Amino acid sequence: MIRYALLILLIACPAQAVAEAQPPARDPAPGLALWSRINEVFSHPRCANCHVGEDGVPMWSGASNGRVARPHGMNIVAGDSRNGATYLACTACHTPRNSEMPHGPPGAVDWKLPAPERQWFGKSSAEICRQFRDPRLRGMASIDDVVDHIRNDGKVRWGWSPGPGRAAPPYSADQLAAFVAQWDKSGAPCPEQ
Amino acid sequence: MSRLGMVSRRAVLVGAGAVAGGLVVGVYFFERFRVNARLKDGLDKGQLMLTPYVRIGEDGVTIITPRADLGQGAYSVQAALVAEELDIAWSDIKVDPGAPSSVYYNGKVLKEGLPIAATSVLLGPVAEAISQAGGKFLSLQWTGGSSTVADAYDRLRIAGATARELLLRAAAKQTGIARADLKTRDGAVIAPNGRALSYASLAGIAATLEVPADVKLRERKDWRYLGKSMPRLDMVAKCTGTATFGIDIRLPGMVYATVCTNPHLGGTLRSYDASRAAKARGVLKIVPVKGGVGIIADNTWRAFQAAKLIGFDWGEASYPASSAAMFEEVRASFIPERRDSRCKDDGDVDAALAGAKVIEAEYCVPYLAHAPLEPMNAVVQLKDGRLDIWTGTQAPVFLVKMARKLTGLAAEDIHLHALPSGGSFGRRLENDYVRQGVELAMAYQGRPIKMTWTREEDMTHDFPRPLAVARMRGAVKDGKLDACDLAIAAPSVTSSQFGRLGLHMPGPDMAIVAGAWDQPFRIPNYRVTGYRVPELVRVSSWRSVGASGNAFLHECCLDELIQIAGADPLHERLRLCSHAPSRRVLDEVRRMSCWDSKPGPGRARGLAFTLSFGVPVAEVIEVEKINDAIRIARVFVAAEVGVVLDPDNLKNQVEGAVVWALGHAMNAELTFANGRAVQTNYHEYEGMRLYQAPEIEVVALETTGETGIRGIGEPAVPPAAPALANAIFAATGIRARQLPLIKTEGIRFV
Repeated sequence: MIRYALLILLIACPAQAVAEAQPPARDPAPGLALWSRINEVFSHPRCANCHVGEDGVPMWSGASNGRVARPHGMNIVAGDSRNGATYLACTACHTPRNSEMPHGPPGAVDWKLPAPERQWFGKSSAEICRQFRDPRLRGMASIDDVVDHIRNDGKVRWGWSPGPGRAAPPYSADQLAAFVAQWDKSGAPCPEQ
Repeated sequence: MSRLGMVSRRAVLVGAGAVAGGLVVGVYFFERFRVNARLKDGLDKGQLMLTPYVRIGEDGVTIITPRADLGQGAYSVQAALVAEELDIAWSDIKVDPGAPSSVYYNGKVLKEGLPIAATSVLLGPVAEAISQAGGKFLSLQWTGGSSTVADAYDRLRIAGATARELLLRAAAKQTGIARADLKTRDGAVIAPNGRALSYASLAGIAATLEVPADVKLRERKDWRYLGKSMPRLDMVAKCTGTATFGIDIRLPGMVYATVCTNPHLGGTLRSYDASRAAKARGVLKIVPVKGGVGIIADNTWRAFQAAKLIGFDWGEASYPASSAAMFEEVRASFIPERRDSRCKDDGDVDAALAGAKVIEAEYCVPYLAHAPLEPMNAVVQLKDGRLDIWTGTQAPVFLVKMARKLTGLAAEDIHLHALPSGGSFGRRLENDYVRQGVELAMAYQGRPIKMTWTREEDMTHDFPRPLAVARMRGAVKDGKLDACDLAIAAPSVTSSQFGRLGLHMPGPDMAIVAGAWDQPFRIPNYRVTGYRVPELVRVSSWRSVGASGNAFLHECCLDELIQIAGADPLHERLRLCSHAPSRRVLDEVRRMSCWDSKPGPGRARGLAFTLSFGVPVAEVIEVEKINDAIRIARVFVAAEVGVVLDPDNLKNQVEGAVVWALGHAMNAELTFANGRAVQTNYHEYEGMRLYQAPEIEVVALETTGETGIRGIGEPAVPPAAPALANAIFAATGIRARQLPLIKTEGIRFV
């Protein structure tokens, strides 16, 4: 039995090694087109304003925030916790629901910033893509987890119901989830630049 | 005539007449009954007025502080002026804004509107006389133009000293002790044996005595309060949230209201459907008011909610529908038919430009809203032929006049209770909101009505600072500024305001060119021309009025020319400056900012100077470049105010003015689309954020002494925007020619 298993391994492994060394030639165009749509969402102010780096300062950008991007008006620092716990909790203003007043604080359950390695703000499409493709940087092992996150996480869903006066990103959360799944299946190509 | 009448008349003669010579005597003798009836308004039984500024009753002394407190500390400084001479303890001071009265006219505020520069030694007394006479003639009880301190400095001290002298003489009469042997201390007359007679106990006798005509004022070295930083009288109340502003008034049986009027300013209301609002929870009555409707409810929130349920068909406004179209109108105004003033025309500008390489540029500034934190409000009650109004106002006499006209009531049946305002910046010179309150009270008589505007109503129904465009042509010669031809076109604030008061404004409007034509620079060929744009949106005074925008137009043009000449902005201004106090502030700001040293890596400095309201102010702003964005690091301000009455309050005024002005310079404009204001709240009309606030260093010079005493409420505003723009140019090479600065490509603030 053991010999039989070894035999199977000996046959299978070189074949796999060959497969890795020479991936099947695949047209990246459909995948890149999908990525382009994904990037439209990721770089949209509703998403990118919170996907910021290690400084932990959320950004205000987009049509509802004036002409130029700038730090959160109260100069909030979310800190290592990414939710302001050691400074001023995000939930001090951002309740589980959007304020109905124009430019009142938007809100969703568990309002906080994503981890700094998932910074999208200020980065190019290629940079965001390479980062997103790396399971360690995106913080989720499988694409199924990502799809689940997009479909079910309240903070992501909030992007499409951001309250009065704020533009939602294009497509829908479900469409975005489908784009991500198809992009991954198409080989997860990223633009060069 | 009552005793009060006699005392008040005499007091009026002293309080007002002593300041302006004998000019007022005839006027006030003729008007004494009206004046006295007004002053009587605040008196309880047993209370007496020794002068229009000093009321004494069993509970002690109350100082009348008729200039409105809009957050600038006006009540405290007025109280200090009286208390210094009257000799009462700071902790015992009670203040009351008093009743509207022509006796409280402002004799200084008209000066700013005259075509006489503050630097003119020859015509200065003429301006002073015209201002005094005009203020009196118009019963101009008016808070504005940074005039409170200058106007009150003599008048209130004389009022305090007169009251003190009366009390001393009363004590002499009562005790038989010689007047010369009596002293005063903290609200009491002190006999040689140490016995204290409280002012309250002497008031009755004092009121029967002849009022002295020539009291001696304390010498400056003997001042207890003036010249020192005193804790503001309203500090505890404000810090503990217990201060009562107009919006805080609560009265038994009160009902609450809000008002919706046509956002196309001045447009009519064609029709409205209030059927849903009438059924809304808490709504008591919906009544028409001029240009809209008022909603009366059992609380303010319900009135606000019901207002949203009303469908309106608004009439159109008469002005162009968009900001772009309005600016077109301004740009079309540089024509001879619209020329308004040319009070500066030195040398031969045309000849100088004809033979030189001409530098041309166009600058513009936008409409700006007042946007005070406390939105417009008034509590009004009309009951049994008596009208009571509680509100913050900068023009009480005009307000009463308006209420008389509207209700048909006699002046003595109208009682104004003036209250501190949560900001104003000039907005409460207008009385449109009080008029609405009176209209509501007439339609819903008996109970007090608190009318409060929503923030959105406030922002979209303002009387903004006018937009303006400046066209500059200039030339340099041998590394020096040789010619500057500045033409400014803007709508007239003064004409707009006078029109609402039923007055006609004679002559040109100096507000169109204020802060530009009257600057103390001897440029060889130098011309400033004002062009009056026909009124678009109705406009009004905005903190520092004409100079607020013109300083940007003038100082950036000057900076541009100096830069092209290759000269140093500060040294070139010093070289051109012909006015000693102005030279001193330039010198001082050079010292403070270490102008002649390099500011450090990534940093640059900009300078602006403006002489407005008679106060020369120089500001240097140091900016830091951080990743292609600008951080305002430090601001240095030097001003010449003559005498500093409260150093801490002066510093607060300057710091507030700088932060306020820079916030506007960076971010704010009021724009119009489809005939209505686009910005509805602070999210679209943003001030400076706390984290953006720079370090601010202030030095007030007193070299001109008592002859140069001026107020500082406004003069630190105008130079802030151009100093920042000039600093940005020094740091980045980007020359911003429009406000707010973020509209210029490449300018971003952190």
